[in-house]
Amino acid sequence: MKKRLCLIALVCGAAGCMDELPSYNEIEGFRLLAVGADKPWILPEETAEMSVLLASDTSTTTGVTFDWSWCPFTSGSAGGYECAVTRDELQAQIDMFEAPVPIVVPPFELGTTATVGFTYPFDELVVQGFCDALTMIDDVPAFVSIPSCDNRLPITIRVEVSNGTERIVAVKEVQLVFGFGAEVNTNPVATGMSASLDTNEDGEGDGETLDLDTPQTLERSSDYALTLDLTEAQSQSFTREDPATMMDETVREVLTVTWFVRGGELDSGRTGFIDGQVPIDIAQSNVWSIPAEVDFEDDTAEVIVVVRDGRGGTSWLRRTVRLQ
Amino acid sequence: MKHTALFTLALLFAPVAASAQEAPPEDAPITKLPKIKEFVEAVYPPTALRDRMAAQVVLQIDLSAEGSVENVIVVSSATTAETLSATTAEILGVVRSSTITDWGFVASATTAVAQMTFEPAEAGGVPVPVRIPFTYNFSLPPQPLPPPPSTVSTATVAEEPGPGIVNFSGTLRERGTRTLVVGAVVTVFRTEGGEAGGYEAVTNDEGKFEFYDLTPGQWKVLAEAPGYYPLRTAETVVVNQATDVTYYIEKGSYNPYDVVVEATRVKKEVNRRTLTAAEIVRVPGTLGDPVQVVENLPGVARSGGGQIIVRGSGPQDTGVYVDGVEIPIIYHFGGLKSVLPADVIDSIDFYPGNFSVKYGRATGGVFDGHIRRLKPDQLHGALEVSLLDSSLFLEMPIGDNAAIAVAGRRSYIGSVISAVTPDDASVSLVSAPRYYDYHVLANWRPSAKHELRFYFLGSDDIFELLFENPAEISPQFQSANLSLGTNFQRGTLEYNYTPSEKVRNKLTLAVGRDALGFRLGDQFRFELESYSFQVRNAFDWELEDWLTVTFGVDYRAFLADVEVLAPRPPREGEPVGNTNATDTLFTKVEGVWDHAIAPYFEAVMQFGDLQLVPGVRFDYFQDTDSFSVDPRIVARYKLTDQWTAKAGVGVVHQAPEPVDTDPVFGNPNLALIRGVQYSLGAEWYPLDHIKIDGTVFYKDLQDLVVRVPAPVNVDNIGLGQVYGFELFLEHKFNDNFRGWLTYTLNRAQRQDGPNEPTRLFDFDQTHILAIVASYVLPENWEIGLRWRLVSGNPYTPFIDAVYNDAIDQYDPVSGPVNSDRLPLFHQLDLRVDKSWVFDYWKLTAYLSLINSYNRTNTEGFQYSFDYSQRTPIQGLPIFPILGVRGEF
Repeated sequence: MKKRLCLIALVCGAAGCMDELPSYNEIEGFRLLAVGADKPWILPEETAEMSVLLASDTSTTTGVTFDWSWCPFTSGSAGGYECAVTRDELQAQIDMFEAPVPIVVPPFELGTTATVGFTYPFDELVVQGFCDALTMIDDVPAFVSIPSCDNRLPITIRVEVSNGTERIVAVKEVQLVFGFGAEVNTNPVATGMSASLDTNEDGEGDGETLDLDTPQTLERSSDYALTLDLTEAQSQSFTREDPATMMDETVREVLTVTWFVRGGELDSGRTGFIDGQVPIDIAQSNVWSIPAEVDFEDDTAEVIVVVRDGRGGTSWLRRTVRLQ
Repeated sequence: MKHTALFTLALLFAPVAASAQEAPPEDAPITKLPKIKEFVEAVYPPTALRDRMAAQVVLQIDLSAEGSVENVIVVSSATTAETLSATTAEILGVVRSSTITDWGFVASATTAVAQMTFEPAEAGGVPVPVRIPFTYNFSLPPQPLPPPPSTVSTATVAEEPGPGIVNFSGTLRERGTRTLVVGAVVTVFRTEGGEAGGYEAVTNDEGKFEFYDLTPGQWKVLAEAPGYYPLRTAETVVVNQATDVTYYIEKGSYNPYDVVVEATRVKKEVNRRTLTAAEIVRVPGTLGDPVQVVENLPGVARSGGGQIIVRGSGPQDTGVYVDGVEIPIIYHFGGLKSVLPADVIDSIDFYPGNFSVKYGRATGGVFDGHIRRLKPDQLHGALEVSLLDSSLFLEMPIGDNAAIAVAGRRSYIGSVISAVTPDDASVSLVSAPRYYDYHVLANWRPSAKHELRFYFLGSDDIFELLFENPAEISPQFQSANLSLGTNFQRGTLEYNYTPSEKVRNKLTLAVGRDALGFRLGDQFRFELESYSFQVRNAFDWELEDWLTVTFGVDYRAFLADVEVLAPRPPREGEPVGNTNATDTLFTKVEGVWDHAIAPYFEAVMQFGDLQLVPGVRFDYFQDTDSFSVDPRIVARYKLTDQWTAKAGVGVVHQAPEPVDTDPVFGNPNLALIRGVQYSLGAEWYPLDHIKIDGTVFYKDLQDLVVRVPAPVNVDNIGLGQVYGFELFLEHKFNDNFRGWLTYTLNRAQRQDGPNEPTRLFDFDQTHILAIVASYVLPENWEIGLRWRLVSGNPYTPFIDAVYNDAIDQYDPVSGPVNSDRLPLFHQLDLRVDKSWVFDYWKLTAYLSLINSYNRTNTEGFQYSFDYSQRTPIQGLPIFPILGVRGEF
């Protein structure tokens, strides 16, 4: 965060300055930090378990309501990702094709619990046909992104969460995979986190390494170097077409780590790994500055990380520490 | 110097023409004689003054019914040498000179008379045109006073018996600029034997003076010229030696506005604003930039830097030319400075609409910068250092008919940023942002009929960043390297052929190379390399006194390689939100030619006070494989000497942007964008130095390119209307003051399809007011101000937001397009200049104070991560820029 402020200061030099807005990475109020699916790409007949990562500066997220739904194509960001068709309209469209086997569109509603399951909704041939049809129709509304149909069709999972006073809407794409031998993406996983006092403020811990996977007590008014147990192996290799050469190439996923804290501030809001450009130790590392006073009654603070692979894979890790 | 004008309204005096229904019969008696309303003093020819010649020029003048001079006929001219009075001869002796040329009385008298105005003659109460005799007497001024009595009491100088030997000569130059001073009186005098004696000479066209056979010893010297402080010094004349000196005489004022006095070009347009380089550099808040100053002219919106928004048209809709040659980029990075330093230009012409058919392929306005026409007189140079950049200009003569100049500029703002960037910042400046430009100018005029001009312009900008942690900048960045660069060159050769006063041909050839690039690692890239070739030819032929025709051709070709990997670019009218960086498109074209050719024809017809300028332009655009015909006409009618009415209507066409005709990003089947421009106005000159110009305008835009559903992507279904009123009040330099006020009342709207609702254009600014003023103070001080009051731009509000896990960001949900407006903008910029004049050079220091009362202007909003809160993005706070300029 400090480094980000340096950049903002540079920009300010050229174009005036602005008042500071709430930090994305310092949790205040009721927050939704991520939407997860245990399988971000699902094969026919598989089910993805959907969940959300919620956080609050009161450390509790009780009394929250959920409303999940899915949609084959939405109105896009400009339209708030509302579904562009109703289930009945979609069913009517599919019925026009007089398929040899009846195709039933499952309900768009997925449930109102904290986690829900989303099951591959059709036979994979239907999904493939549906995808191909989208690429051929001339009057697809402008807000619909035409899928590439390279063995998968993205659908949108939408969730509305509310704690009674605040409402948050979130969306996540889940890929319906079709075709023999198609690649499947999995979530990147960080397995643990540790902290070490950073007394000389060089971003590298020089004190005792504390495993945050077990209960730990951290000192107030201190900087802690955080290290995430995230390996390069979590960055899957996959094949894509190079747009310039039109040839297939194998590349690795870009991993992005978003850091959140409940109490204190971070050196970086996000870190990442880019194969060949940014090493994994950049993605693993951050510095957490714990203030003298924390506004929570229970004398605890929390650090949360969300790891994404840029292809729909999301996972998270949250650790609570006691302060003294 | 005394000129007396005598006109005798005698028998010769009679109506010479009749016009309009109220005209009296031809034999109607004259009931009121014409009377001089405004007398214009003729310039006393310097050579005649030098040689003490007087003259009487008898003319006949044809006056119109409005009292303006229509024609001047020379009846006779008689010159006489002055007979010195005995007293003068006794005091000053005989004045000698080495150069005798044509006296120039007739030309001077006719020029002056042609500019005079009269109260018209009347016959039966009706103004009538008449012919009157007019005599202009050139009477010599009294000789300069002899030196102070303390040094000269009486004089007894005998007339020399014929030319002798020049033993004291010299050259008189202006201090600071070294410009030759012509027509100055140089007097040498001394006291011998208790009696004062002296001689006098007048500097010739080369600023030289000579004295013959001065007796040895010390002489006091006095040099005097109008507008200059007198110079007093002493020289010693030695036996058998010639003394040659150069004197530097200080000008009374070095204000920039009277350095260049040019004849006003005949106006053929409804609105053409011309600003000279001298005017441009002192406009506060524009950093002396010729392009930025355009924002202070009527019809131009405040863009915030780097764009020219004219009468509700997008920045890509205004043609930007340098002497008629298109250039790809007019601004360096950030929009602070254009690629044209003021040193290399003479002036700029700006047309907000209804421009001549020689310009095309633009539905907005036209900006044309005119490169400096070098003078082969002497070495000139300038070095300027400011907080942003440094520039150098050097001009030198090559023989008597040619001159060459080089100029260059380099910024160092990047070095400043590098110096203040902390070592532990998560970004490294591989190449700190910097720009430079370089210029070569050359003129060769082997004869009055032929002139060759050459101009080379090069510009280079680069900016490279290496992110240690790109995710910190944006979760969508998938690369650590960001680079941005533009590099282009243009070489222009212009040949002017003027075989007679009535025929002129101008041929311009230009070649260029453009290389533009943006790259974010392998994630995004835009790379363009192109070679351009442009030819312009304009043949002007004055067929009759009332008719001049122009045949021209305007050809442009590009050979380009382009490679783009990027998301679809946002379009005008689309709300600014998150771009899905993973949704990229790729296109690549190699060796593609794009030709555009346009023959055109224009006529300037003068029917008395009515001037009509019809023209037609035929364009062919290869990119869209389409033809267009653009008829245009402008009319100007001189109602009185002070009032002129004007109107214009014209069709304009423009090709879609290259990205819009790309098969991947756009639609290769697009048609041309069409516009019809209308304007109606009047000019009023209540005083010589005051002009008030008001114009109402309307612009109808058709076939605008707007986004439509894939796979068509974009189509010509957009419409636009722009209408408004422009006021321009100009106070030309007079009484040490100059300035102007512009006000534009304007509404620009768009329709993104025939059945779509009308919305405001992104840069619609209802009120645009600018006041620019400069005042020249004694001791070479000058102060200036610019104050602007402008409506805020419209913007699209965000009414909700949805969290998108794929990009770990909230996507905003937009309200109606451009349904809100930013707060009113106002800002005061000040500038102070102080010059110090030395013999060979001049030093000027300036302080420009941008946003001097530190107004907090809102340029947009920064939103919280979930768009539930926002904070204004403020414009530049108070910002001083200090600079020093030395020139010789």
